[in-house]
Amino acid sequence: MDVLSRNNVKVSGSGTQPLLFAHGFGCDQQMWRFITPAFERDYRIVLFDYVGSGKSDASAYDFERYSTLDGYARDVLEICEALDLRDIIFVGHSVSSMVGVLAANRAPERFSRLIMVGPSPRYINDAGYVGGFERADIEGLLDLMDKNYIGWANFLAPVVMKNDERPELTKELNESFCSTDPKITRRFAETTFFSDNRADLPGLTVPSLILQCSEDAIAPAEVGNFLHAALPQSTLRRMKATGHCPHISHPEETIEAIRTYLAA
Amino acid sequence: MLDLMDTAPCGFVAFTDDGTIDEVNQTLAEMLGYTRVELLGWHIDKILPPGGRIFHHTYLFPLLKVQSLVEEIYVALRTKDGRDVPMLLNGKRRERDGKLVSDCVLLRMIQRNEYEEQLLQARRLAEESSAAKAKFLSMMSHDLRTPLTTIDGNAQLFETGAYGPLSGEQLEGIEAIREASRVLMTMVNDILEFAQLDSGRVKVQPVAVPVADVISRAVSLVRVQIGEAGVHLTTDGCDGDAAVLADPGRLQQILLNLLTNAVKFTPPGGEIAVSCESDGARVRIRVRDNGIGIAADHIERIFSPFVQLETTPAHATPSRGVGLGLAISRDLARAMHGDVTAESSPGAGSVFSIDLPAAHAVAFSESST
Repeated sequence: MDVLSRNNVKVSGSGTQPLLFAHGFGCDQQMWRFITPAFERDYRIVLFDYVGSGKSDASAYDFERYSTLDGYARDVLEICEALDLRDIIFVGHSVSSMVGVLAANRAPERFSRLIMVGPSPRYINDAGYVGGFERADIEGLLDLMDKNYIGWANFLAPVVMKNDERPELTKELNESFCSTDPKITRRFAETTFFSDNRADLPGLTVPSLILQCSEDAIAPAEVGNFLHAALPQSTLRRMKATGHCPHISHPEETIEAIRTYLAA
Repeated sequence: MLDLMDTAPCGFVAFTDDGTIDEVNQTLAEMLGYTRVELLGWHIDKILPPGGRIFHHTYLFPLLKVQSLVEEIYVALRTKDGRDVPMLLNGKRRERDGKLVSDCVLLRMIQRNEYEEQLLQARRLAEESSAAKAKFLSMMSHDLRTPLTTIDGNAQLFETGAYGPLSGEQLEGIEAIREASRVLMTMVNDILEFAQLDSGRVKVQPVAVPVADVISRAVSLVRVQIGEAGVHLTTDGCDGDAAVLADPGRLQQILLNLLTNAVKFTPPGGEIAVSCESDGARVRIRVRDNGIGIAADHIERIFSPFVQLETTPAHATPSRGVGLGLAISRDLARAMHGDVTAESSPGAGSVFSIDLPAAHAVAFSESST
């Protein structure tokens, strides 16, 4: 199996050091479209879709392999091997932050830094730990996904959109956005939101940046603090950006935060 | 205009990119047990249940941001007293008064939600039942193969004289045992393979496969049957350099199945033609016969598992299978991003087509570095 084709890997940029962007749960590599242009000149940009997301080869999906985040980390490492990436700056959104930790723990020699956007090592509250959610809340999400499954064809179908008032807001998309297989997406949700990677944090030897949004409903401030305390060599940056997706809601601030960290 | 908005029989809420509620109508406020003033300026998360917040941040907002439009999204909004109200949402992100806001219309869907709950429950039960069936078939097929292999192996030893010389009658009996075990083994293998395909456990490994090679091998494997059936086979347009992206073994299996069926349903003296076409992106291999044909209303049924039409011609030997050949062929083709389709009419023969991506059309391309 060709890994680059399996994960719909796209490489661009004029630089040599790889900036490897990993999308989070719920979408695909297009989530980075507001960020990557700012780094094209100085870095080698590597984008990919997890198997079952975007334009990846869904036939390569293995329910057993991807039932833990380790399976996704193996994908990342296989991409690194296929492109022979070294000195990698890994940028992961949400769940991909932990995928990055797992990948860097397995092959620390490939990674130079980890940049985590809205990370959380565990979404469900535990004794002495605030994750933000109870198990029933995650089951509520799965129920919501199941309900949308009924109308999924429309929900995730390719859409070509024009914004008549501000056409520059939404460049016409001639391809599907966030097209995913509903069964795989549901499984990805279970894998993501029932995961617990707290024990993997102290072993990280690669320096990391935690980008913590204000009022992040998915990864609250307590989670950012926990990560900062648990991750050796970590930098915590509290952003003005609210929500969980600063790379699409506040791309300028996200770009500035990444640039500042890389320049330090 | 605001009065009309407030009295409209649907909810309306507009929120900015950071999730602040910028506008809300009276109908929605009342549905949730709040006043308009209470909701204005709140974060949208406050009227979403926790699972809904994840859904909003991971799907709804990214879709609105990148596509500007979402339609028919099922959401639940949380009321002041903690109940969740199921609603259907259409939203559009636009610029208004110098701000980027997402306008959302919400329709309460209590009864429809109950109906969809029933549908979901039925689907879950069907999936569980399907998984149990696949597991049962797989286990049974495994358990049946072992004794069948023993039966055939020992019969072969008798046939070859390993246990001493046999009379002509005894040899006939042994041959009957071997033939029966082969028939049974075909059935068991079909069931096992179908169960594996059904549960997504069959892996295909597509590579570039020259079409001419696959056809040549498949034709050589059915040559004896063609001779016995007294039919003529020709190939047309298949000697070029067209290649498909397919698992070679699986493609051969599909082609063999179609050729075997064609031989079976074509009377002595009939014609079977294998042809190939390519439009650059896709390649189509056709197996045409002038046999008994299939009625239009049966065309799709023949691809259903365990279906065998009661049209076995008088000249043909009874089927060895259990009606899984075409179902397996279609599933395999689809697993390789292709398809198997049929065209036919009674008395006019049939055309079965294997459609697959051309090998060169799907090669990975790396953009400039």
